[in-house]
Amino acid sequence: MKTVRIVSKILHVVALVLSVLYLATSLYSCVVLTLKTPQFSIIDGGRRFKIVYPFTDTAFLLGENTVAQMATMVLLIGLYGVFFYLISNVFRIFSGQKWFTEQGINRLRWFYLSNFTVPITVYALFKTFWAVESPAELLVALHGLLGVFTFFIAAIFEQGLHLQNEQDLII
Amino acid sequence: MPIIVNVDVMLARRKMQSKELAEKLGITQANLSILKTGKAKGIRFDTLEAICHALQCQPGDILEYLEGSPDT
Repeated sequence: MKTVRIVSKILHVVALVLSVLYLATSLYSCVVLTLKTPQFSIIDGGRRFKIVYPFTDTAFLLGENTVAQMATMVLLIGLYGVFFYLISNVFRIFSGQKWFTEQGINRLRWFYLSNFTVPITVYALFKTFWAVESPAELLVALHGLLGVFTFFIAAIFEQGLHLQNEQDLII
Repeated sequence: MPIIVNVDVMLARRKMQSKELAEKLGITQANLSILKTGKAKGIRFDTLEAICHALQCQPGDILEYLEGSPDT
């Protein structure tokens, strides 16, 4: 149990840091693309765009110079920020003293519901308007699979909470 | 519940307070209250043993079966 707690605490912090980085990147890209700040530039004769790190000339985001490509990149980075935040919440459950709690079940529920709904919705949305690259279907399937596993873990937690409450009434 | 917990009665007979009994049993007052009010789902043998020791009584003095209760 101690090992699980240590590993989950580490994963919680790592996922939280990734979440902050992804969300900040998404917000930064959104601001740069919207306001066309000096960090944004068009390259390759207008075919591609480039966003550089603040106060540097080092590029960190490159893509085709189309609104679709820009929107896709910003949205995906932002959504993965949310994904890492939700998964950090899941890891947080296992770092606590008591695992079977209402709060823990809610965290698992948010995680599996978002994995079931968001990837397929975003995929359908993009496919309606633009051509979607091939790995997208695989990502949707993987997120769905992750959702299924978490759904079953949430069911185990609900059963565990019920048994724990019963156990608390045995004096 | 057809099983009645008579800890209150024994506490009154021994002129002991709930707080004191809880301390002797090593359980919280909240848990003792759950036991006294009949909300408990069960009682462990070691708890029963500790109650009998603290109140100088038999398990039958603590627990009573009441026939004709809706749950029987």
